[in-house]
Amino acid sequence: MSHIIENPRFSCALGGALNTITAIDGFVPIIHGGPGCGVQVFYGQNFTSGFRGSGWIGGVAVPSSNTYEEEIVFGGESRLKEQIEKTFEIIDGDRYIVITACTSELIGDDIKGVLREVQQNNKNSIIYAETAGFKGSSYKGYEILLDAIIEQVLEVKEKNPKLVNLIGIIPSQDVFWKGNLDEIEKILNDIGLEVNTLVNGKNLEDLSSASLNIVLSPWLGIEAAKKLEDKYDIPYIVNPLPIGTQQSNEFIKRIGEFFKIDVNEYIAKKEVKTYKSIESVADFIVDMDVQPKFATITDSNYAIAINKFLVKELGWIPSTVLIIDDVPEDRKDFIKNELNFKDLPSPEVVFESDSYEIWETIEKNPPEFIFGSSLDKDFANKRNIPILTVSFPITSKVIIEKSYAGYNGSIRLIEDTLSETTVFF
Amino acid sequence: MSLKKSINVSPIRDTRLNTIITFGGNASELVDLTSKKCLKDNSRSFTQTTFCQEWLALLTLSSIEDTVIISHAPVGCAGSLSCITIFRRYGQINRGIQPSTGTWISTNLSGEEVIHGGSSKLKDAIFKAEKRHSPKAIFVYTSCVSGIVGEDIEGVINEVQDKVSAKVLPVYCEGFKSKIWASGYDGAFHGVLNHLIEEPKEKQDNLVNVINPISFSSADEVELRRILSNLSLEANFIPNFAKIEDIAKASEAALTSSICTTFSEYFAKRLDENYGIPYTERVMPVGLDNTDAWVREIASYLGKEKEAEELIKSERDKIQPQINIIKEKLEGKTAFISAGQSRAIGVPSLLADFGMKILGVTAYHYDEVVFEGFKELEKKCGNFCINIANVQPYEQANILEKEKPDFYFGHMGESVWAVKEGFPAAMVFSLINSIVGYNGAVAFGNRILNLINNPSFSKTLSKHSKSPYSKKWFDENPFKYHKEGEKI
Repeated sequence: MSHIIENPRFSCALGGALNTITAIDGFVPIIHGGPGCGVQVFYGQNFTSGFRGSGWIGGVAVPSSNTYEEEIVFGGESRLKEQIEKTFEIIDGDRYIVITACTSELIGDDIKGVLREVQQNNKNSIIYAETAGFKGSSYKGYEILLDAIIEQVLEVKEKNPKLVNLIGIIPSQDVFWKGNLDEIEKILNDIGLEVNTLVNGKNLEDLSSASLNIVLSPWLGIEAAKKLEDKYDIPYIVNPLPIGTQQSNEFIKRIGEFFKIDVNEYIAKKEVKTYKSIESVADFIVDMDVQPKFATITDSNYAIAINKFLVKELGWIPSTVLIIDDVPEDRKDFIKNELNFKDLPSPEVVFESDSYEIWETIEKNPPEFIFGSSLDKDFANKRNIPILTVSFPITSKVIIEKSYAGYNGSIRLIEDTLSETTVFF
Repeated sequence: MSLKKSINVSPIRDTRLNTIITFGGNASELVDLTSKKCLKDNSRSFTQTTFCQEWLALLTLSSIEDTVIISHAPVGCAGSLSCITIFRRYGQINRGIQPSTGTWISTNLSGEEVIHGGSSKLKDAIFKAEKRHSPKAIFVYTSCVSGIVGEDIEGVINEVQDKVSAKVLPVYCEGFKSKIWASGYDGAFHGVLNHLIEEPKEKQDNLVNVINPISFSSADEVELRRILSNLSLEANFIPNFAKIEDIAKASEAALTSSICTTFSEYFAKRLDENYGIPYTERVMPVGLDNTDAWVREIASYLGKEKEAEELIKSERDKIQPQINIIKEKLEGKTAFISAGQSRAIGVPSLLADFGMKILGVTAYHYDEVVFEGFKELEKKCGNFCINIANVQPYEQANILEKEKPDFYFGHMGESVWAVKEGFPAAMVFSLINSIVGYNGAVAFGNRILNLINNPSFSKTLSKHSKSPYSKKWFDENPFKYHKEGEKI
């Protein structure tokens, strides 16, 4: 049984799906469900991830069947059919997707049947994903959406030997999704590859023409990658989001090996440039004695990236790692292993999504710096612990394209982290 | 215990107030249909997502001290509290209260509870709320899922109430149950009435309950407190930013007034029924004429008519020079307003006080709470385009393209669409500045002057924003997708 959650750090399945769909160009969501679902997950995830806006068709513009008591009693299929037909008339999309909310799944509307009917008189491309909120978190919704795209959009296509797909980053759940994906794309472009991130204006159909899937997460997207391997013969690698020189080097080496690209010169150049910047802040770090004990309250992806970077490159002391996402049991060992730094200090790793339990756990081994969300600000401020917000929800700063990923991102992370220690200067 | 207290659920506004959410035409037509009792329960064949009553119920009770919200729902349903908490923190800071993010617990209903029921999780949540935070009250919010599955919220509460010291109260707000999101206010206040209001110890002749939505700023409250204290009255602002004790003593007040009549309607009426406290219901104190009317209505109940007239004259005299400066710049400029029905009357009236011409109004819904107020507005502003819509920005985009106002005034979430179309916009509320009363009118006027002085943002942004709507849509009747319903 899932457990209750105080001040949750993710939205529901519908939220994860919707906030991904609205990040994809020309993709029109049609919610089939209650009147408030779209707004609830907009303000409950999209807007609260550093004030990401409505974009082209998000926020209150999302088409939604807004079903009420009448549909709950008599079924919502005819209302959905009408809503889809009118959406085709009024919204200029490349592709449409029906996403179901709790109510329509509970009453058992036959979405597939409605789509079949609609498509008899219409050539518009429309698919569906069953993303009822009770099915789980934003992470679950992202998985369901990817699966729907794989099953209903993709066809066998000629392989593009230079094309890779990046999956495993959920817009808004990863508050730096845009900047992170841009940064990783840029790095891969630098070594001669083309990239489809789903959200960078490339065609969804082209996902099946890639030569490699990169799962940029310790677990999210593996299911989709396996399916893409089975159906379209695309191999995959699992490589959590890299932050800093060491992680980025390893990442690029793996990709280079796969594509037989010599990346040594590129890596060397990047390393020199990055460490020149780090050296420029060394005086501050040394003079101010910056080597704190720190805790992270993030999803597993950031937990690995931030801890590895701070421990292995900046020499910080990890205390507790709180992992807030619903990591599948069979991936927990992988994550723990990634967070075991052998001869360097390693943190205690705790999987917990309930904010109260999270704070109780942190309290047992009080850190001197916290990486968390805006929910953690009161906890940190009360104890005079500096905090950098890196994790959903973030309502205390505006995020547009900021990224902590890769080489460049690690410099941003150092700037922002150290700046939190200077607020009283 | 009165009869009303034994009713568990407040009746929804759809049936109670004959509320409509779909109408398109002009103001005179609407006034005419209203007076002939010919309003119809129309609907739309194309709709965009909007707010459900749960959202408004959350907004109603999310800033009360020493309380915990439990959302008996899947995890997404109370998600907006991470946004609503911005209002809370802002409001707390401006009121000199240490800002804090509220506590909310989701019972995180999953597929399993959909089949087997989730009452054990609800109990777990209530006990944990008590043990972790020792709150004075715990609000249990229902949801679409808990409603469809048939969770016995009342039963669970009755079972656990003796075991916890917090008052546990239900807030019925299943999203699918009402087309009128304002029903959520009633669901929230219903629980408050049944569980938090105490029997009066002694009546206080000078105490006025002022029901305050969270979307009004502390500056607004300062202004209303000032006006009331000039009439030797003390304001009891509830429920937002209030202590449980302030809410409990609402039964001792001499009068209930409100900033927003749509927000307070049910609460005020039930306070009257239960404790014999009269209430004001005419207007929201936004706009000079409206503020006069608000003051006069309060005074009429408390025998302070003479003081009220003196106050109105002296306030008007004091701000007239500033109003003149604003008027000079705004006279003849055109405006479109979109807001909840009470504000959709208050704000146009205020803009008309500045000499602006009202081209159109969208009210999120329309019912008997504002019938009189709307008639007066039509008289004051002349005929204008009117849309009754629970947001629906596609209709708004079409109307704006035809009406081309100089300025747009609306709420969070929807106004950005007007800006992307090239219309300079200001919010009809402010977390920092004031909009109510006499000083609020001046503050809001000055806010508009900024838009006149520099409309660059909307002008540049609109050149780079692509509309999601087909070109064809802008040639259509904006109300093309309205479907005729039954007469109400």
